Amino acid sequence: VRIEVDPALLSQALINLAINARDAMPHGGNLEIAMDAAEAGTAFLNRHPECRSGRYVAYSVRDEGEGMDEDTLARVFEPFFTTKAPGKGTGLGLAMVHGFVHQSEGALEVESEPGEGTTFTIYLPVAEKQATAAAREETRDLAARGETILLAEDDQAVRHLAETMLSDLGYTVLSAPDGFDALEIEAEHDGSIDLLLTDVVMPLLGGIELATAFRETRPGGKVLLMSGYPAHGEFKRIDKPDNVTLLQKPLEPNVLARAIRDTLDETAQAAA
Amino acid sequence: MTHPFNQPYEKEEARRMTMMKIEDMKVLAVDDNEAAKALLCEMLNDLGIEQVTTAEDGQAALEYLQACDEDPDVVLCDWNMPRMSGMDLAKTLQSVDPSLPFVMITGASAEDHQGEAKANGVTSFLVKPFTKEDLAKKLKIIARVAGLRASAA
Repeated sequence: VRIEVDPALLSQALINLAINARDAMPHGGNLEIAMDAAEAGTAFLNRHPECRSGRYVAYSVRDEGEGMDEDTLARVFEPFFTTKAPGKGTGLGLAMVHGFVHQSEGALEVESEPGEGTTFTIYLPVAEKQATAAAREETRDLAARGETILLAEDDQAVRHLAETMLSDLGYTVLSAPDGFDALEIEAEHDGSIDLLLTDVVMPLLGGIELATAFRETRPGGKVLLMSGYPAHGEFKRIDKPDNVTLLQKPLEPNVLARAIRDTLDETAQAAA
Repeated sequence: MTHPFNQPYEKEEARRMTMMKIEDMKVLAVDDNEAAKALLCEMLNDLGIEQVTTAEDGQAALEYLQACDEDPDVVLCDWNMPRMSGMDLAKTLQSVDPSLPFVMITGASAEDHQGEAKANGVTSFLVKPFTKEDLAKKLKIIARVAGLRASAA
């Protein structure tokens, strides 16, 4: 699930609750911070008419301290209200929590019995936007599944950028500054190489010849070409094999990630 | 013509395409140090390579290459030499024939300069001390590249 709040404020709110919980237990005890999924039922909506129905994330901070009587409980969210000794607290901690929760269209609840401890619970609405969910799905979708990629690119800046992009996605990257080194790395590498991502125009050994060699020794391996030259039309400079995708440089992180995933998954489907 | 890349994987053809044997390679070995050059030639002979020409420095290598009827398949060259260094030879050859594979023999301390050397036409490196097996591996890749280039042409 996903919530849309200011992370700094959320952590500050949890810290404030934790400080209160600590202060409620001068003789020690367990402090429990928990996170749970919750559904806004009728009772919840009656207590918090400003809240919308649907799913919530519940953060609770529980202490085993003295607890609070009803009078204290009734005033607990008032600014400057405090049971702490002068100099021990501002009385603004819970007011901050309350303000943050209200701003985030959530709800704050407290349960307490004298001698039984206190539990504060912050309810924050789950972000249900379709687009957000789709983007999240996409990101998960694009991640590596333990694959290894052989990268051949003679432009150092592009190579380093691609290395970073691929590593961030979780791929193991074998990186080569040209076709020759790529071929050497390929020959030396005992493990599997699932995909060759190669520039087309490189000195001595270009990407297309490299791909031919790669497929000879690793028949199941997939290939993705990249080039600054267009694959079609008037400015076509590359005699690209039909069954291979050519990525245009400059590389767009999402386009690269998608193309790699699609190419790798093609293999899996064909093998299945 | 069908692109070789589009053809289904066929073992026989793949083998034929990449099977330029290292024994058949013509090698130009360049080193000013007689002992090092002799050791390199011995390794090459042990690998069954008989077509070996030697030169005592970059200048001599260049003169040989300009005069010879048939280019070697690979240049194996020491880095530090009088008259013309390995790097200068690589630079010159890059402008004349960028497809001639050039392997620079270096000490481990030269690794920082590999990027610069690559930009100047050095294909690959053999870092001293290297074994006969290291040399064979390198030559096999060179042979493979030659095969790939020939079949793509």
